[in-house]
Amino acid sequence: MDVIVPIAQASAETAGLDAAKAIALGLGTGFGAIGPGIGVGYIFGKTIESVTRQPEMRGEIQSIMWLGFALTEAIVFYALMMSLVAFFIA
Amino acid sequence: MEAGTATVKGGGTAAPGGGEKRGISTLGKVVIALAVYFALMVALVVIFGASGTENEDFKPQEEFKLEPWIPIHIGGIDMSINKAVLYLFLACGATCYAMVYVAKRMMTRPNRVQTAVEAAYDLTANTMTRENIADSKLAGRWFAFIATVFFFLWFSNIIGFIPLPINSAESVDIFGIAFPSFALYAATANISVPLVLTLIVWFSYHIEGVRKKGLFGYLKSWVPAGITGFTAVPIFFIEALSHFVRLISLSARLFANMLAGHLLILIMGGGMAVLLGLAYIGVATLPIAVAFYIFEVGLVASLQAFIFAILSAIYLGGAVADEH
Repeated sequence: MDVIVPIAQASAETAGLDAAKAIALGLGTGFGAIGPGIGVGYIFGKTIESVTRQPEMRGEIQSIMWLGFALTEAIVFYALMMSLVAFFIA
Repeated sequence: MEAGTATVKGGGTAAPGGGEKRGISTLGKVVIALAVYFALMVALVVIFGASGTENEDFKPQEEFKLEPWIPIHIGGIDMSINKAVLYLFLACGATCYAMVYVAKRMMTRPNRVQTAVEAAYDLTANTMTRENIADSKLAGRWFAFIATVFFFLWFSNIIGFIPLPINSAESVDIFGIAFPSFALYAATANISVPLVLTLIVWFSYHIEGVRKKGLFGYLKSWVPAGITGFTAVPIFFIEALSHFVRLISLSARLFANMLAGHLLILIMGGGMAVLLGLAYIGVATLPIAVAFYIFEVGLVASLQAFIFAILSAIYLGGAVADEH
């Protein structure tokens, strides 16, 4: 993966397209992290709420929580993948 | 200096009772450790300078390059043996060995191994398969597949976090023999492995659905019950699209999680310092790499294997369920 070198060297002399691609990678990943961040926080917050309301349901709630956590967290990686596509292929 | 005064203050606040005899309180220790840490960074800036040196020799990103070790080309298809193939064989061997070992050691009097085995069986058989596939005959048929997928992915994720001498792009001379240097790599951090597993799951659940309901019955079951007439047409296309999106989401979730984890550990654990040629950045990023390593090994490796297996079971169960 030649990810790191172009980002590090996208300074003065190789500016232009490389810099634009680096910006695309950064912005895509960064903005893509907003939604999943909110979602993951919501999931854990709701889990705390539910467990305090019904502590006897803890095990069941937690297994659903991990499923929801992984499904939500994966969205940031879709953004990362699309950003990498923009970085390498576009 | 400052660390010294903080020590005295910390001793007064943190342990008011018997703190006198220990001398240094917990807060003081933390402050001293941080001071030493920043002193190390400052020392590195003083020794090596704050401007980076251009790095040309060592390329950390070679860790993800698949070098053909034994080139095999059959009819224009590259089937060379590389490190991803080695990792696949390691994961296969570990899975087979663990399963045979477990099967031989089944005993009535529970010991520690037996307890772990029973927990794993309960997880794969009940939590994953039987809770999501309502048909108990079908659940029994697919339990073996789902459990195998889970253990195979778990082993390949965990093996991916053990440093192995597989980086043949960089070699280390030991007694005149060039050994490949140690590196982290996972078979699941390569898109082809999760994609093929996803294709197996995808075709399996469609075939099971068609076998249960017939081709048109299965296609009809995509539309939620209660929607009839013309509105069912766009809903059907949306559902059809969602089935294709499952191909991407199921494979990309596993692949991108593992790849991003490895990239983060690589960049934080020295890659950034090497590429920028700044020694003091390595001091700052190394603890982050350790934290990410613990996070990846402790949570992500197991969680992604679990998610892949349970989603396979959910898709299988959804395809044969009586109503959408």
